Amino acid sequence: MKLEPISRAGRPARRQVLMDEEDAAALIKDGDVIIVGGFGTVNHPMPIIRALVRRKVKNLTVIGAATAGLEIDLLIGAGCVRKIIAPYIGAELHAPIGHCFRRAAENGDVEVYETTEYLLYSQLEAAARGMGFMPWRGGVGTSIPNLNPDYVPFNDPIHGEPYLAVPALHADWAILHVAQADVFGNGQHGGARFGDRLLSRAAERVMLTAERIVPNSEIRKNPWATSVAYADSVVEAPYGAHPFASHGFYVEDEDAISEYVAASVAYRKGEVATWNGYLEKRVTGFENHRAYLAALRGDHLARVCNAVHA
Amino acid sequence: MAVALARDIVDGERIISGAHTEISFAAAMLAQKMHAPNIKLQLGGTCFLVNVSDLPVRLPKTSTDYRMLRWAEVAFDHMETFLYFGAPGGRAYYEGGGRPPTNKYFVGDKFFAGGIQVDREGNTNMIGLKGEGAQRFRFRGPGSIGIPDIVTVATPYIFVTHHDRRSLVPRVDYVSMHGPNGWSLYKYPGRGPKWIITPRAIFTFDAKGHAQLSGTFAGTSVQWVRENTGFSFELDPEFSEITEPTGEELDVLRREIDGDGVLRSARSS
Repeated sequence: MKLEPISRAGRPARRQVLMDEEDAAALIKDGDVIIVGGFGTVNHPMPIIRALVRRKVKNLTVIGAATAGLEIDLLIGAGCVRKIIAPYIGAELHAPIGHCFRRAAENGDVEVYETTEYLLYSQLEAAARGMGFMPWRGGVGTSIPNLNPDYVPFNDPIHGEPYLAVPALHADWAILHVAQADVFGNGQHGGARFGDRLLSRAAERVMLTAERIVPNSEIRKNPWATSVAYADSVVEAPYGAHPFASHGFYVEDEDAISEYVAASVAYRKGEVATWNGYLEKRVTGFENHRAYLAALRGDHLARVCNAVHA
Repeated sequence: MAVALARDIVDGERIISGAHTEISFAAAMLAQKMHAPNIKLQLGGTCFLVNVSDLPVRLPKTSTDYRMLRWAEVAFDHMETFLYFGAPGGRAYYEGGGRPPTNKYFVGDKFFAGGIQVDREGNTNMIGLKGEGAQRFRFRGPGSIGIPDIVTVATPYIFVTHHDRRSLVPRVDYVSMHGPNGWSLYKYPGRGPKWIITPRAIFTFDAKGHAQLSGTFAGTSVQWVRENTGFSFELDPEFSEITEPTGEELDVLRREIDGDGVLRSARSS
């Protein structure tokens, strides 16, 4: 047996994944299955969402968070989505039902994969564990397995109780927003993490937007706080969840959310010019996230930041 | 509605309050401040186990508000709800109350479920209204969220924010959550929904699993309820008008919980 001696000479550099949002968004292709992290009105990776709209990506299958918000509604309204997998799309009191989602579902413009929070989590857990399916009790006997033939009723072979067999879900990318990350793809949240850790483990690849980029030593100060290790792409994105909240940094920008909701109501009513005007003004009319931020008034951002401490 | 729900909460219970349910957030926090400082309270997917009995609070507009984390005594990841909700507190915490006295697995006592339609048998629909022919939805609802999941471990109260014939119907178009009859047919634990509560009235369920009118809020007659409910119902033998909120209840609710008037603005929207 001949084993070559090893040497430090020619050692490759450790893989670094910091990139700008256009290069990151270009990794997502027409027809991909993407998972979008965050929850409700919190922690959505908006620079990537807006870049996907700018790039006119088509036919995405979008897996939303257990409580998906208006970030998915925007992708639907912008025509990027073929199929939507989420147990809820809306923003509570701001918009009980996402208006673009509602119109697209009623017109049959998107395929709706009927599900619940834990049917979805079970499917993602099956994917993360490399299993074909998981059992779950929620939804047994409801309309959900009738509307979604992926969910197969069966009886527990040990106790005979009724269950649903839920298949693993494939996803090409999970895209999440975190508080801080290093150049090697280690990300840490700044508050509630919701379902993000599971979302990241269920996908083939993970992309992070981060409020700030920190040295690797900062990550190692508290490795228990690392929710995602070795992501495939990291984008520096201060205010990267705007107009939504970023736990630990700023709360919802309610004025900006109201502006979105008003535009999405116009979309639902078929007022295309109003909706397109909104997209141009707030989504597509910018070269990048930096330009998007520059167009927001400074006092606006100061107000949502200070509210965290109010 | 918040006051009525708070009055039905018993000290020591495990209360789970989900998203878009500012009424149930207010009810649970009111109970914790008034008479039930030992309820184990989960607020949305953000805060697992909150005790606000002696804390100043502001009723949030969303269940994900970062500021709520200041009241949390423990926080878990959302997808771990079913693993960890029962963990802290110890076995003695749970003894009595008809639920398994264990902290080994996720068990709740009460949960609050909304519905775009609710029918006489207490089935609720969050999915949508059926369309004609190839159109699946005439009206697309928000989705079933986690309601079909949480009800595998807790007893729901059904709430609707508008009392009319569009919300209270003879038969739901789609079932997101079963009423008492479907509940026993599909072997869910417990007996299923306890109330249907509206801004005007409270229904309970009789032995046949049918909604019966048990109470009306001040200013609403039985006749009004009959005219504005899409299903027929009997009167509960114990029917009565619900005692109006007391000065103390309203004072705590308005001054210590909902100083920003979230409940009032939600009602008018």
